[in-house]
Parts: sequence; C-alpha cells; structure tokens
Amino acid sequence: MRKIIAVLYRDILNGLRDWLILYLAIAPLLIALIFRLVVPGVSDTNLNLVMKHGEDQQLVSYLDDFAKIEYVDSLEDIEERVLRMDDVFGVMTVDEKVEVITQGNERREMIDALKLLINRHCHSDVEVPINIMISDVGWGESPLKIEGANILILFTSVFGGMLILLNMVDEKMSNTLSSINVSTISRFEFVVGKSILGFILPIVGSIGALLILEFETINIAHLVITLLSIGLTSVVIGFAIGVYNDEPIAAIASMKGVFIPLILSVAGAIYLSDQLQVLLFWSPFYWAYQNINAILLNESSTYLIFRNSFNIFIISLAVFAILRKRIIRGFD
Amino acid sequence: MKKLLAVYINDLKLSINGLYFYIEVIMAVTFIIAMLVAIPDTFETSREYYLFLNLDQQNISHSLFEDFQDAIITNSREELELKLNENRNAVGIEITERSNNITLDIVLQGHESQSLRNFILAEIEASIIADSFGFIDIVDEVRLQDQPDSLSDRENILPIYLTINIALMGLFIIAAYIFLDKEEGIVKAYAVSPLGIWSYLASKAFVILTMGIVTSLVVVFSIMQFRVNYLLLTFLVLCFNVFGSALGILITSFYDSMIKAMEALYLVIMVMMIGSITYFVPAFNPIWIRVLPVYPMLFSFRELLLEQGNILYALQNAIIFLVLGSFIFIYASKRFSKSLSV
Repeated sequence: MRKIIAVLYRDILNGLRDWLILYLAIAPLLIALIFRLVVPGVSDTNLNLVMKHGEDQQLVSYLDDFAKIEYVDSLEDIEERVLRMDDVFGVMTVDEKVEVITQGNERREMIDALKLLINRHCHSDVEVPINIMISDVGWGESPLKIEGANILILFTSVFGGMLILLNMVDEKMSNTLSSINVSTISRFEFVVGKSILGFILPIVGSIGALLILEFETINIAHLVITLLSIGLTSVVIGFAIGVYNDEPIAAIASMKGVFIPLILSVAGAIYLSDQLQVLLFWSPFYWAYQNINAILLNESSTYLIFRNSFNIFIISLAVFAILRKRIIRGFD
Repeated sequence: MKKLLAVYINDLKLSINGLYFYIEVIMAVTFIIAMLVAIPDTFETSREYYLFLNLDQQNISHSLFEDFQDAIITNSREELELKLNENRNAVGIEITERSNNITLDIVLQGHESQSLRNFILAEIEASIIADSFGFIDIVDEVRLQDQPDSLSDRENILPIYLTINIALMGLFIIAAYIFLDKEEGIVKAYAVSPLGIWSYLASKAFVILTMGIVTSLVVVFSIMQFRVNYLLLTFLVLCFNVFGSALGILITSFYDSMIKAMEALYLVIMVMMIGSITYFVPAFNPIWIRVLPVYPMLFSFRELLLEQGNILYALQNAIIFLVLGSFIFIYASKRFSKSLSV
C-alpha cells in the first residue's frame, strides 16, 4: 500500500510541478462554464428573420413574439442575408401580399410554419373556434444541456485514461520503466498507483462540471459507480497504448481510436431506432452514455446503474484479456 | 526545395514503418464500415404524442382529432403527465369539451422558452384558421435557388468527420512529433544544419497532410462515390490541414512538456467543437460562433459535398485558412529558431 501511495504521490508531485493536475481538473469546469453560457441561446432560438426597415409595424411586432429579427435596408440585402450559410428567412410585404424569401435548402416544416403564421396575422379578424393554452409538467432541463453534459463527462473520463497514457509514454521515453522493473515495487502496485489519478481526476472534474451546469439533485453515488467503470475502460486502453509506445505519435493517434467509438456510440444512442441499438452493445461508451443519461434525468435506479456498469466491466475485462500479453510485453 | 523533398520522403517512410500509419488506416476503415453498415441513411426523429380526451360525451367527431392520429391515448390527466415524466422528449395534448366549448391544452416539458411557446400557440391557431372555410392564402414563397439539394443524414456526418479528423487532429499529431524529436535532439540538429528548423516542421506537416488527404479521399469516395469534385476536396483538406498543423506548432511552441501542450490543445479543440452546434441547429448562429474556425470549415465541406453547393464560399475559406496558416507557420518557426528548445 505504501508503495502504491508513493507512486501516486510522485505522479501528483510531477503533475503539480507543471500545473498539469490543476489544469486537468479545471478544463472540464471551463468547458462547462462556456457551455452554460451557450445553452440558453440555443434553446431560445427557433426562427430567424430578416426584414426591411420600415416594414409594416403590426406584422413586425407580431413576428417579434417568436422570432429573432434582423433589419436591413434593401431587398438586395435581404437576399444576401438569406443566402448565407445559416437558416434565415426574409419577410417582405408586396402590395396586399407577403413574400417569404427562402434559400431553398431550409427545413420544409419551418417554411410552412412561417407561412401559416403570417397568414394567421393577416386573418387576425377570423376568430379561432376553440381555446388553446399551453402548460407544462415543470421539467426545466433542456435536452441539449443534458446531451452536452453527458458528452462532457464521457470525454472527461476518457481523458483520465489519456493522462495515464501520456504518463506511461513519458516513462518510456525517459527509460524510467526499466528502473521500476528492478526496484522492489511489484508491477501490480505500480499499475494501481499509476491508475489512481486516472480515476480521481474525472470524478472531481465531472462532479464540478455538473454543479456548474446546475445538476444539483443527481445521484452522486450512481455517477461515481459509472465513472469508475468507464474509467476502467479508459485505464485499460491507456495502459495498452502507453506501455507499448515509446513514440508519442502512435499514442496520440490511438487517442483518436478512442474518440471515434465514443462519438459514434453517442450519436448512435441518440439517433438509432430501438431495434438498431443492438449494434452498439459492444461499446462501453454506449452503456456509460445510457447510465449518465438516466442519472441526469433523475431516473437512475440502482439496478440499471449496476447492470450497465457490469456490462462496461465485462467489456473492459475482455479488452484487457485481449491486450494482456501486449501490456506485459510492453513493461519488459 | 530538393532537400525539403528528401526530408519529407524520409519522414514519410519512417511513418509508414511506424504504428501511426496503421492506426490511421484502421480508423478510416472502421469509420467507413460504421457509416455504411450501422448508420441509416435518414435518422428517425419522430416525437411521441400523448393524448387525453376529456370529453362530455364520447363522440369524437371534430376534425381536429384527425391531426392526432399518431398520438398515444391516455385515460386521465395524471396518466398523461406520468407519461411525459417518463419520456422527456414527448409532448402531451389534453382536449377538454364542456357544453360545446373546446379547449386544447398543449402540455410541454417546461424547458421550452417563451418564444417557442408563442410559436407553438400561434402555429396551432394558424393551422386551424387555414383549415376553415373561405381561407385565402396570401403568402408567397420566393426561392432564391432553383434546385436546392441536401445531403442525406448519413452524408451530413462527413463534414464533421473531415473537420475533426483532418483539420483538428493535425494539432495533436504535430505536437507529438515535435516532442518526440526534441527528446532525441533532432530539433537542435536541424537548427545547426543548412536546412533550418522550418524545413523540419514543414516536412512533418506534409506527412500529416499526406495521411489526411489519403484517408479523406478514401472515406469520402466509399460513401459518396463519383458525386464529389475530388480535386477541390483535396485542396480544401490541404488548406485546413495546413492551418491546423500551423496552429498546433504555434501552441506547442509555448510549452516545454508534451502533456501540458496536449492539455492546451485539448482545451482549444473542445472550445472549437462548440462551433459545430450551429451545424446541427442552423437557427443558432451568434457572431462569436461564426468566427470559430470550425464553423467555416464545416460549412465549406458541406457546400463542397452538395451537388450545387456554393463552391466560391468553400474556396474563399480555403484560401483564407491557407494564408492564415502560412503566417502562423512562419511566426511559429521563428519562435522555434529563437528558443531552440521546444
């Protein structure tokens, strides 16, 4: 145990000397902060319009209720604005009619909705035969914020593994691994000592990021279990790549090898239909995504968390079993 | 120039012998297989509707109900709310009828903004009026482009892959190269050789560029075959990759340890990735996001992949990034020459 702590202590000391640990702990918090500033803007915008100065005031104030309106001087300016990359529609009164100017590649539903809305305004004397009201069930978290927080946590946990990877490559490059091999510390103790930081930093970073994003009522125990299990995957990958490479290029390229399954798993979990989700069952990131999603939605049950974490654990073990020889050879 | 070519060929040979080359190839193949096998051409994004009919009599005859044929029927307001709490993407509708007075209550989750609520309310009112007798449509649509085309959902992922894999990953790899060679004293050796540090850096950047061009051509071809102008694609990849590598060299020049540089690069990439939100939510387009390099890169790739995309826009961005990348490269190699330590 003392030796494990010695390895950990040395890594912390190293990390503090070049501010690395502080940096690693702060990075997810910083991103969470930026994300927090971005989210309200994203969920607030549905419809962007561009109109001429001096357009019919009633129409303008009607559209202003649900659209963001930019004003320009001429029809040419409207067209120029509409043709730019983002989705902005031009609205202009021509005689008794109203023209909606589109580029042509916008979402059809949005164009139809806008036409309907303007028609509604122009027929404001017609009475709607039923009462319409809007209520809600009091759930304030936007889906974008939940997905964003989820991806941030996954990346943070993978970065724990990356820290080990970079540390190992560093050891390899400075030939300190051979010194470890002849010292009294056992290989197991060394591996555990090296891994601890890779587990702790993601936990600290993730909880901090979630607090910044105002997820205050989540089940922290469930989150920690999930982070520990996905941390195991990252650590196994980190060691497997790190211990074998004395050149950082391949190590960094392998990092891509971790990022792409992560992004594919998240995209698949969001977009694939229920029947096709089977295609992602091999990915530990998929199970971690499901866990974190349930945690952020306050829907996580102990059964669900343990079942998914068990899946991650089994997959990590399988990866380890495949790479075991490689890792051991790398140490020698 | 000849010497630079010799260094480049040497570096290329070395990297083909190294693991880096194989990892890149495996990654590209995995991506292609995932795209072709696992990712459907169009994504299902249907939203579930729950309906509760709170009626005096059970005679559902109003034309309004026809609009809700896909809805899942619930038996009470409590059950409706329960379903919404179970499925955070769902929307509920309660229709109340009391002595011929009909009330339509749209039950949302609660995170929707006021402008979105106004929008939904007005849209429903508008669609009811549009269905009513004697309605005259007075809104015309003017399309500025005749035959707009769009990418399928699967093809729409390509610009993201190209931007992350080709443009941004160069940042990491070049940093890794530099720290490796610093350990082995190669950087100093170049500094005293007639070639100079810049040719060392340029050769590394070219190796990464070569890998980037090859993998992007293979990936795009497997998914879009002959529908793309590959000459232009190569040019775009070249310009963005040069920019990425130059930025990587510049950031690296501020750090003395690989891990610290990686951290900085990681942060830079995460911030830049925020620019991709706009790619998926085109209505969200504040100016600060449009100036992040990722934004023009993503949209340039998209315009290039579209059959009638705005090639001028893509080319213009490519040239801007090439010029910018060259300046950054010159400045960064000056920094390296001065400090001699990386």
